[in-house]
Order: sequence, then C-alpha cells, then structure tokens
Amino acid sequence: MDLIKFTDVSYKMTSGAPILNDINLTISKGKITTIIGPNGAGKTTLLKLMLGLVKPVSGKIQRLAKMRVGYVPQKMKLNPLLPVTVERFLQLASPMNNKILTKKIDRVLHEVGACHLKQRWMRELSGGETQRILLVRALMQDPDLLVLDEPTQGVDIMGQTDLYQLIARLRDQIGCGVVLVSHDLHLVMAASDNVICLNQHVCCSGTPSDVQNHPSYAQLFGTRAEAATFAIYTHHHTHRHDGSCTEGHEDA
Amino acid sequence: MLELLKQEFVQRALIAGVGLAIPLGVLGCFMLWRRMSFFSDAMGHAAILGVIGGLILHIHPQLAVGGIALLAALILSRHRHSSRLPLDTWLGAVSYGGLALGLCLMALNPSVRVSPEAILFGEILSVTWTDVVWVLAVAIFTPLLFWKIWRVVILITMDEDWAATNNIPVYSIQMIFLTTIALVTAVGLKITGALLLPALMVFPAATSSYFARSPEKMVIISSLIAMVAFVIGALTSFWFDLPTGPAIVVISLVFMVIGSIGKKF
Repeated sequence: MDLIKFTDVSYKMTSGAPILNDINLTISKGKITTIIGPNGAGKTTLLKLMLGLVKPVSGKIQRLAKMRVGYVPQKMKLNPLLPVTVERFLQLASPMNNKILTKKIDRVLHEVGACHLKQRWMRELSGGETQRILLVRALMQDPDLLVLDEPTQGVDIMGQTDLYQLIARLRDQIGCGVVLVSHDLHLVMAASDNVICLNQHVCCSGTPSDVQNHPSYAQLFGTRAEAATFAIYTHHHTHRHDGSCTEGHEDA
Repeated sequence: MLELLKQEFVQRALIAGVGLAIPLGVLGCFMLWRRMSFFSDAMGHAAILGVIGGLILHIHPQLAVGGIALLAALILSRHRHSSRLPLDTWLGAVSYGGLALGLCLMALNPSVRVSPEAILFGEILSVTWTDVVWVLAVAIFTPLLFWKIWRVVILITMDEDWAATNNIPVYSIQMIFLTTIALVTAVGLKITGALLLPALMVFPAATSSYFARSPEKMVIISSLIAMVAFVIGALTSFWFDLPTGPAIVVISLVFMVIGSIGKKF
C-alpha cells in the first residue's frame, strides 16, 4: 500500500533558491525507506514535505487519507523549565486519559527497553535516552508511518545498531512504513529496504545494493561508499565488538 | 494601615492587582516555556501607541490598546514564514517602533494630554470600578480558556512541528494564545504600566519553576506568587510612599531571588 506519493515535487526558499527539484518517490507500508545525502541536500525539507509541514512550490503530494504519522524529530528543544516526567510527557501526547493509556505507555516503554526512564524528568535525560522516549511517543500514535529525522544523533555506535534493529523489529511488529533520514551510511543501508540518495534531486534510488553500485552514489560519498559496502556484509553478527566504535562517526 | 485599607481606591487597587495576578501567572509560565519573555515587552511598548492613538481617534483606550497589541502579535507571529530577519529583530522593531511612533503622535496632537509616565509605570491608584470588572472578567476567562485547551497548548509549547503532524490546529491555538496576551496587556496596562507588565509575568513564573513538579502546578503556584507579590508590593508602597508598580516588581524580584537561593538548600 502506498502511504505517500510524490509527483514532480519542487521546493524553493522564499528567496527563490531551489532546495528540491522534480522529486518522484513512493513510500510504502511495511518498508523501511532511507534518505541519505550530504549536508544541504534537502533531506529535512523532504521530510517536512512528507509530513505536510511545508507546501511544495510545484508538483503533487498524495498522502493516504487519515494516515497516522509518528514523527521523531532530530532534536527536542524541550525547555528545561517545563517540569514534566517521561510518563507525563507520554500521557500528554495522547488524547486518551485513562487506564488503557497507562497500560499502553508501559507496553511501549517495554518494547523500546525504556521502562527504567518512566519516572525521570525529561530535562535530565541524555541525548540517547531522549531519542528513545521520542520514539516511544511516536509509537504511541499507532502509526501507519514512522518518520525519523537522524534518529541516531548523539547515540553511540552500539546504541545505533540497537536502534536500527529496534526500528526494523517494530516495522515487522506493527507493519508500518518507516522513513529514515541518516548520515551514517553503512548502518542504515543494512537495515533498509529502499534507499533514496538525495542531493537536491533524487540521484539514485532502489535497494541498498542497487544504490551502492550506482555511479552517482560513489560520486556523492566517495571512498566512504566503499566502507559502506564492506559494512553491509559484516552487519549480521550479533555479538559486540569494541573495535567498531570508531566507525560511523564520519559525517557524510 | 487599617485606615488605608478602608479607602475605596485602595480596595479597588488591591482587587484589581490580585485579579490581574491570575492571568499574569498563567501567561508568564508560557512566556518562560516558549522563551518569549521579550514578546510581552514588545507588546507593552506597542500598547503605548494604542493609548495615544485611541485618545486621538476617540476610541476607548483599552480597546485601542487591545487592537494594537493584537496587531503587534500578528506581525510577530507571521514573521517566521515570511521574513529573513530573526524574531528578536522584529521584537525590537515592534517595541521601539511602537514607542517612538506613539511619542511622535503625542507631540503632533498637543490637545491630547497624557503623561507618558502613567502609561509606562501604571496608575494602580486611579483604577475605577469599571477597570476592576474588566480585570476580574479576564481573571476568570484566562484560566478557564487554558484549562479547556491545556493539552494542545502544552503540546504546541513543547514541539510545534510534532503537534502539526498530529493534526493539532497549531495556528488557531497560537492565535488564541496571542489574543489572550493582547487582552491581558490591554487590561493590565493601567495597573502596572507598559514597562513593568512583562516583569510581572516573568518573575513569578520563574520563581514557581524552582518548586513546581508539573506544568499545572507551575501555573497555579506562579499565579499565587504573583498575587502575594501584588498585595505585599502594594501595601509596602502605601506604607513607605513608594510608586506602586515598581514596588510590586521589586517584591516579585525578591521572591525570585529567595526561590533561587532556597532551591540550593
């Protein structure tokens, strides 16, 4: 099922500078789509178009009617003067207000492995912990589509692998579509069904291996693309190597 | 002191002050959470233009102030979609532009006699019963309104984009919020003055943030602190013959300092 379909979508800044040109893409249910691209490629703008936060200058965006979206922003600028606990934060995110909600919060916290954070103040969470809670909040919506903007920022490498595995598992459980924006090439590529390589236009797209073999991919990411190739084949191990901690911190 | 409390103008001042403390406490928390302390400052300054414009055009001053404050709020809320200049630049434009324009208009119309001091620092002792009724109406309306829209307004305060993706009408709630600020500015101007009104929103809310353990409690504590500050400030000013508005602000500031020290122990 198609959740979102872009047809020849373009977007410009108010000053007229183009950000995105002639974007055609489809986001499907049950699939993980990853958007990669260098800084300034328009990744965040593309997400905002998908979420309906900004309107395209030209082209057409079709969204599934009454689609529920779970959005995990890149950063949460929660003011530390706003006194909310994790539990309260999650309660506020849902219009329900009863025992069902309490149970649901417990269940989703458990799924994401964040039960121990329930009574903590939001302002005292670390970057990675906040990211998990934002994911919980998105899942509370029972989303048809889960949208994550660089979800692993500030999360260490083992945490990143965990997070991607978690996302893949949730996709299997809930059957929602997932859109990810990411910098860390190899980890993301391994977990994706579909990769869109963006640089103000769609350079190439397809399965991870299609994209890797595409000449414009190598052009965009250069030698790092080779590292990504390597990592795709090494992804399957389940135990942890301390040695891999230096990988994945390069910004594409 | 008791003699003083028997005076009707003192009673009016106290009722108006305590009433005004309620909406100021509520809005102050949101100002703090949304990092827009200077927003009310800009509204207050622009309101001066409202007072003078209202007198020239023979519009009821409170109506004119409300109108101008709302206009200022609209300009400021639209900026983010259409301007390259950052918000603080626009705040400055509205704030000082409104003040300067008001003073120029006053000079051009010598028949309009207002003391700028009264607008800037308020005249709590010349509050009429009509003013008191207005203040009490706003004092009841504001908490009821926020109670009604509490969840969505908190969600928007936490994360506008996220709220928008969850089909929350961000723009409408934003307008309700800004209109309430304009309304409270219009009503509060005469009591505390344009220069001090923002202080009375921010100080009690900041004091409350040291102790509150939920957003609701922070709003309630903030209103209570503002009430106490109004009463103690007003009585102190009568006793020591100080200007009332500044005395209330000083007391609020003392509370805030006590709060910050008290939190450490």
